[in-house]
Order: sequence, then C-alpha cells, then structure tokens
Amino acid sequence: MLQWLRTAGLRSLPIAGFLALWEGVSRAGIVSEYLFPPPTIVLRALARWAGTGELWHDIELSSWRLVAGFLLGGSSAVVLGMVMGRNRYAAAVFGPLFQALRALPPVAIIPLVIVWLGIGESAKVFSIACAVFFPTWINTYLGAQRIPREYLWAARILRPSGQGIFWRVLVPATMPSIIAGLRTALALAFVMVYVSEIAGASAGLGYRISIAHLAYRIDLMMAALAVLGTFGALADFAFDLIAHALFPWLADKREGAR
Amino acid sequence: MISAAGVGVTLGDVEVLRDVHFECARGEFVAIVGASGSGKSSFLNAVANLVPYDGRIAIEGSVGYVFQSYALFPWMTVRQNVAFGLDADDAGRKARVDDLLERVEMSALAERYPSQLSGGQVQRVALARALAPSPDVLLMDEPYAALDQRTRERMQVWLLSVWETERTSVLFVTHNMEEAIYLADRVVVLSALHFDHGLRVPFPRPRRESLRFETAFLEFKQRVLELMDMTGES
Repeated sequence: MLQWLRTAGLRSLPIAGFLALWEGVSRAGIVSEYLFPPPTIVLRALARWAGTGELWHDIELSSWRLVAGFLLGGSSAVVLGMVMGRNRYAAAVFGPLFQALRALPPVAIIPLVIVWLGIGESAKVFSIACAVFFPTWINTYLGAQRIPREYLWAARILRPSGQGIFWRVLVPATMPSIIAGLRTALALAFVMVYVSEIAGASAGLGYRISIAHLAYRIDLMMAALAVLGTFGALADFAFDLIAHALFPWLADKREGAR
Repeated sequence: MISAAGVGVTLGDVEVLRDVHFECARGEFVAIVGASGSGKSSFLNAVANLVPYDGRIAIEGSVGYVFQSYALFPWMTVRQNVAFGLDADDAGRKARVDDLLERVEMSALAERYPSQLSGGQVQRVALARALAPSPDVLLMDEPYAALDQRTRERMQVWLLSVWETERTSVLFVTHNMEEAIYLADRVVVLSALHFDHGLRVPFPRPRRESLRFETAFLEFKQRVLELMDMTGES
C-alpha cells in the first residue's frame, strides 16, 4: 500500500509541477491570462458548468452516442469480418468494396451523412458507427483468415461432426484480433463524437467545446477538453478491464507466463 | 490397422512423398525418423486426411493427433481442452476427463489456461486431449522437439505408461533416434520420398529408463543410422 502510494505520488508529481508552473506563468502576466487561463480559472469554469447541470447532460448525451455507435459499428464489423474471413466467396464479393470504402477518412463523410440523415441523433450515431466499423472489420477479417491451421486441424479431428466449432474455435481464435480492432476503433469513436457534435448539435462534450470557441470562452474550452480527455482515458481503461474479465486467457498471454 | 499403398503427397510444386507403402498393426508403436523436410509430417497429415494425397490409405477406426506447435487451444482451460473431443451428452465425459488428467498428473492444474503451463505440461495435456475420444490410431508429430533433453526423456516415460493402458496404434514422427528406439516397436526411415521396411526394435516392454545407456541400445542405434546412410540420408 505504501509502495503504491509512493508510486502514485511520484507519477502525479510532474503533472502537479506542470499545473503549478502554468498557474504561475499565467498569473504573473508572462502570457495573456485570457488566452492561457490558469488551472484555477479552468476549474472554476468546470464547477460552474457542472453547477448548471449542463455538464452531466453533455456527458450523458456524448456517452449515449458513443456507446450506440460503438456497439452498432463494432457488432456489424465483427459479424462481417468473421463471415468474410472464413468464407472465400463472401470475401470475393464484399472484399474490394469494403477495402475501397476503408480508404476514406471517416471524418470526411460527415457532410454527406448530414445531407442524408440530417443533424439528429441518427446522423451522429451513424458517423461514429462508420468510424468504428472499418478498423474492427479489417482486424477481424485478417484475424479470422489467419487462424493457425493446427487449431483448425485439431478441431476437425476432435469434432468430426463440426458441431460447435464456429463458437468454440473460430470465434475465440479470432478474439485477440477482434479486441485489437475494437480498441483502435474506440479511440476513433472519440474523435467522431467530437467532430459530429461540432456540426449541428445542441448538447454534448464536442458541442460544448465548439460553442465555447464561438463565445471565446477559453476557460470553458479547456474544461471541456479535460473532461473529454478524462472520459477517453477512462473508456480505454474500462475496455481493457472488461476484455480481460471476459477473456481471462488474453491477460495471461500478455504476461508471457509460458 | 493402417494400410497405405502408393501414397504420394505434393505440397504446392514440391513432391514430398512418392509411392509410399506402409502397414501398421493394431496396437503397434511405429516411429518414423528422417531428416527435417523429408515428408514425415506430410505422411501423418495424409493419414489424418488433412492434406490431399494420391494413392490409398485405409484406416480401421478413428484418428487422434498431437501437434508440435499450437498444441492446445489457448482460450480453453486444461479441462475444457481435454473434454473438447468428447460428446457433451456423454454421461461418462467427466469421469473420462478426470481419469486422463489423473494419468498425465495434471489434475491439480485442470482449471489453468495453457499459457500458465510449462512446455512439458502442455504436451501432457495435448496427449490427454488426443486420447480422450479413444482413437484407434494416435498420430504424433515431433511432439517433444521443443523440449529440453531431461523433460523430453520424462515425457517419453509418461507416454509409454499411458500407452500401456490405452494400447492404441501410434505413429510417432521424430528426428531424434534415441527417442524413436526407446519408444517404438518398429523404426521406419523415410528418405528420398520413400519409406524403408523398418527395423523391429528388439527390446522387451516395459522398458527401463536406463535402457538408453546399455550397449545393446547403442548397437541398435548404430544399425538404424547405417540404414539411414544406406537409403541416402545425410
């Protein structure tokens, strides 16, 4: 426990030092206090934002969009990736199309999505789902295609009927690739939450940053950025935690116990 | 038990086996030796019907297979790996798994994942998994090649003690001559795409561990090496 406290203390020391320096430089008037508001003022903006209740509403809306887009894009990508990875006809039919679409930067589709779906919730969820889809799909597809043949052979010999092989062998054998794809996709989903909320939203963390920008409220912009950053880091941490709780054998691989 | 006639295997453009004739009796333990890349594994894969081949292979009964690498499913515990080949509706399934784990002395580690095991433990579980559905023929493709010498020798003792009770036919591929002679009833040399008739191993069972240091063992090893040289093996 003491050891843990010491490590945590040592790690937070540089951050605390940085914030103190920033506070000092800004307060001393070396840089404009308006353009570089000191941490205490950012904190005050955060407190006021939380006080009105808007902070919670922003977090709630952004999380909802993120989760909906992530689940929608992720699940369809895993299903299609598995099918195409294990069925060469499906790969031949859909492969070229998906590879071509994958080359598009997801951010660039937003104007088109707005034309098609407007600026409502569905447009935002769809944009996030698109961004999540491609990295998840390509990882799942390649992972399913490159399952070591010994796994497939062992499955064939031990279960000549083929019963249960998809769920008990093919899916878990692809799982490390699926997890890697989803994790990359999660980071992209955060980019898309921000970008999609810039274009026509009335609440959300991305919206708050853009509206603070229009009002030239730099303290609020920084507060919103800090919240978005913390939210992203927590989501990544939670993802890791959930993945290893669901698939404990992945954790063991990472430790390299063998 | 196994009867192969005129078997040929071609991988891509490379012919690795041609016109192989091979017989294996019920309960016989045959070791196949030969340099790496000489088609030993391909023969096992043909017998298991995992690769396309020419000619005819007839097997009475079912086949089990122990691979050298990727021996176990890493996402299943030891117990789940061993149970995978058994029918879920089978009432005797749990008893069979328990019995096998007992015999390879892995009962205490039954809930572990393969990544938490040593190389020797993995191969013991792999043996139990392959034997679980009681195959009539057990194919083993250099299962102990990646293990250190001492572990390898202990694994051989394991294998024989388990095999004494199961009495399945075994085709054991190895490039280790001592391993082949210590384990098998007959040693077959594969070279230049062919098998020879093989040499019957004259040592009675059960075999002592000290056997490999005896003069007769070393003399027999010399005979096998000469056979390999005769058939053009380097």
